[in-house]
Amino acid sequence: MPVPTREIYWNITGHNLVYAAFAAAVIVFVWGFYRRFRLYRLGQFEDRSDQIGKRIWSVIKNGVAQISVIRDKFPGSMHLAIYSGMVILTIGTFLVLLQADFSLKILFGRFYLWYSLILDIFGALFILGILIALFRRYILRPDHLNIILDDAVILPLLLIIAITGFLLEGTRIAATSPQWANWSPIGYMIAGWFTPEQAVSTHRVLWWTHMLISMIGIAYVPYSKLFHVLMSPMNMYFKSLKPRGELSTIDIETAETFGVADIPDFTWKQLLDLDACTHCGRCQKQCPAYNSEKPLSPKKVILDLNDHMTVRGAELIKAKKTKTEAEPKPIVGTAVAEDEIWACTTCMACQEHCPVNIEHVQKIIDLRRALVLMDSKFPQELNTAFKGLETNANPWNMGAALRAEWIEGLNVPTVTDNPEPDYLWFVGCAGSYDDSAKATSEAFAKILNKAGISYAVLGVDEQCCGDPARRSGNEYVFQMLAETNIEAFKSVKFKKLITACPHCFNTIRNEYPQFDGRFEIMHHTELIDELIRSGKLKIDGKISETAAYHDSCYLGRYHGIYNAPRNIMKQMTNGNLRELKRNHSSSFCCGGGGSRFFMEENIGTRINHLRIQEAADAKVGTLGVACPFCLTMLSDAVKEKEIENIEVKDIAQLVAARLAE
Amino acid sequence: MSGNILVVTEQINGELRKPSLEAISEARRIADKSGGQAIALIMGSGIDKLSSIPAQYGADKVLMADDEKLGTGNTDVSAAVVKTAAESNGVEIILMPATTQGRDLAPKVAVQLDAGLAEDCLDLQIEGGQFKAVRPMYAGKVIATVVILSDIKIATLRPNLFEASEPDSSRSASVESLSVPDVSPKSTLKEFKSAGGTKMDLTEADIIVTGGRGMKNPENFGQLEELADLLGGVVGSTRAAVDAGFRPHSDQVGQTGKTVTPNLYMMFGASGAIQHWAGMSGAKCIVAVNKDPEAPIMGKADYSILGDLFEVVPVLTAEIKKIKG
Repeated sequence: MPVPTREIYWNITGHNLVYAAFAAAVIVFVWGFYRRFRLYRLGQFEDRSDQIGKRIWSVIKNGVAQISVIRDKFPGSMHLAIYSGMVILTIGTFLVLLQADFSLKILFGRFYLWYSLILDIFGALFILGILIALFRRYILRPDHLNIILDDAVILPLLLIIAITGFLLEGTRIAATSPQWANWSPIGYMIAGWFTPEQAVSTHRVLWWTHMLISMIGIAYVPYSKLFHVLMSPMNMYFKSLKPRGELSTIDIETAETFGVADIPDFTWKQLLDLDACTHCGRCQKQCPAYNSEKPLSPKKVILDLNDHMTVRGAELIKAKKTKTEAEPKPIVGTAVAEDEIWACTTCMACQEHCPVNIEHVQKIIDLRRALVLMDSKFPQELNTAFKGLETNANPWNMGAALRAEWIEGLNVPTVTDNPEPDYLWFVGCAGSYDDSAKATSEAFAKILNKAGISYAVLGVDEQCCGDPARRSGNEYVFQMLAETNIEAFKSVKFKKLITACPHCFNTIRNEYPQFDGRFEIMHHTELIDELIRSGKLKIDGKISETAAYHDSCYLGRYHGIYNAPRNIMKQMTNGNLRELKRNHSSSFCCGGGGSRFFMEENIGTRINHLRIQEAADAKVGTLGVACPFCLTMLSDAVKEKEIENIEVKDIAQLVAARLAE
Repeated sequence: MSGNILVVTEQINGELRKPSLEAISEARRIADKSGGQAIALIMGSGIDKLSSIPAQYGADKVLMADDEKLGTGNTDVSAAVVKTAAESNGVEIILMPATTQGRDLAPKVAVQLDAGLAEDCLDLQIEGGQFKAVRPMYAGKVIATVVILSDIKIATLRPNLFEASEPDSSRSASVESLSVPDVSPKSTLKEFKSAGGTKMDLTEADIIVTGGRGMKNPENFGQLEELADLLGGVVGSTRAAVDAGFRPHSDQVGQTGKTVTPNLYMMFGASGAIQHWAGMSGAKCIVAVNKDPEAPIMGKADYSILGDLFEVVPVLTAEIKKIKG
């Protein structure tokens, strides 16, 4: 048998014309990219050039290896089929090119046989993937996919390229009848449909068709959703390597505008984000606001901002060229509605599930900042919270002097009693003022005392951590609070901070370093878990009913703390813990984050009602929580929905009631 | 201190509001102590029938500024009227209620008369010829006593704190009409939109009867309406009851609703969670009825009744009816 290989250009004259077409396609492609690149350049400076190794790894893991994409299994597999088909077929085509025009002898012998087989398999996968995509998009029509004209172009275009490719292979085999044709099973099958004469003439037409459509495809990329092929990996490279819960800071002294009112107020990376979106809708599928019929969908915000960037960016570029001032055009009110911006609970489900690392939450907060700090435009209910934070350092506007009232009659040392504690306990506003959260504080104090921990509270010198201010866009008040607390912390000699509130936890851990406040902080569930493991705390007594744990967003998705609270719960349930339908990184918010706790929720269904329904569906008796907002939101939901037999308790309360003597 | 005291009253829909009556009563008390006349100024359009009311609360003289231009409540115009009234009547002290209108008007008048202004006063004292005003500062963290040194002194009085004297219909006062100076206002009030809801504004009410989710349905609020009418109060609501559709949002008291400071705050079937407490903790006397002994309000209220509100309310209503005859 002769050495297996294949004919190239055997039937084609003037194939060099394809290079001309390719060059044209590349020019159109580059122009398309440049057109978008100019838009990103409108944005503010932001440094994303550090930690190159981590950045490259992110592209390899989530781009090349598709890890974040296949997390959602069905669409992930579909995408993997298309993606891998595309990659393998492109490599295959390149090898042909190298052999044909650079005289490299590649496609020979055993390698060629395997090459033929592999390309056929991936070609088939490619077609299968596209068919599934068409089926999903046009027959299944899941809610989180929006169907646009672009889809009706891209999917058929790719399908035609794949089918003409196979037909080409088939007609080539029919015309040249190589002995190893069965290594190309699909091509071989197609070859049977043609006589050699038909094959020769059909092949010639198909070849040009295939090549030209492919070139059109390349040129079309930057003008379509296919742009993600370039932009998504780029976005993965430039992704934020900061802690997820850290919002950007504003230099109040020097800044002339605050937050984002118009497109150029975003950073270049925030604008690049908009083009990385693949419309996959996973953010929307997870979003508590969207799922409770609020006007917010993270995907819609990104796509609307993208459309707006295209139009507004062109205006601004034109104005720059003609050296004129563009009419001001605020984003909120034109591209995005106020109700959308205020519906966000900052639960981070969108970012957790975005396969291409888009950062939705910072954008929403930036838009809030401009509304609050520049236009003084915010839901009027926030007035009480803002006033309270400004004057009494708590969002309920309770007297600042009453902050330590809860410790009266309890054995809780202040920093005067214990000036050098191991743990400085940051009680937080809820733990100090809110009766239901005060019960958590009392329980935690009991646990600390029982375990013989050296701790102290700041008492009236503590202020709100600032989370509700920062997340409602009131950066100015946030910074005042943060700076006061940092000073108070620095005046005490302690080893670690401890708190029972995941919001305080996040703010102090991730945001205080922006103001030179670097402190180690633990969440109370981490410490309780540790104390149980080390035997310093013994639990005696079980939760008789079926128990489950509701993940706090600011513990789970923000810090990856999923196990510590569950470990503690399991101590009280013989290791049996139910899970709500949505749990761990896919957990569903209680509705209280992002300052939503201090706003009305009068659009759609209440988020806490949806969540408590999951607990009712799972026949949960005791729902353990680890956050004062979750505690109030979910116990309110139990009352409001008149659900019997669900008890919502902070884990500290459950433990404190079951301490062994 | 022998100058006259001018009370700038506030009328809405042809009625003198309670904070204005409190201010007139206070003017009377000052006049009795330090001399001078208590003069009431009534501004508006078609206000004839109000002219006899200030006398009942102790006014010696009533100035009526009846003009169409004042019908819209434009404070640019009314500030000019107050200036005229003050200048032509030997006025040394000007009192106004610290209502939304008063807070808008007082600074304008102060600028025009070059007068010192103490806002939101809790108490007024005349001591050793000095005019002293007691007022909260730093959002209520401290209570300051300020002395106003200017020739004319202006104070706005926090509603519900100064006692309105019993109306005495035997008293009378001279009534003069005041012409409205020709000023061109810098702004115009285009529209006055009422938010609906209760008859009296919750934030001004003396007595509030609030229902929570425990009321079970909107119809049951009828019982609270009856009780409130009997007491001369208004009905309020918690967020949960508003969310459940029992009451309009304008009735909501709390963090995301209204902040109120009545003398008496009665709560039925409301737990008193912090979101509610944030809006009513300033009430002087809190009475709570709840069947849950663990409800936060049970430990905080001045009077707590542990029981079913549907048993308590009818008894309470009946007893009050008996007392009122």
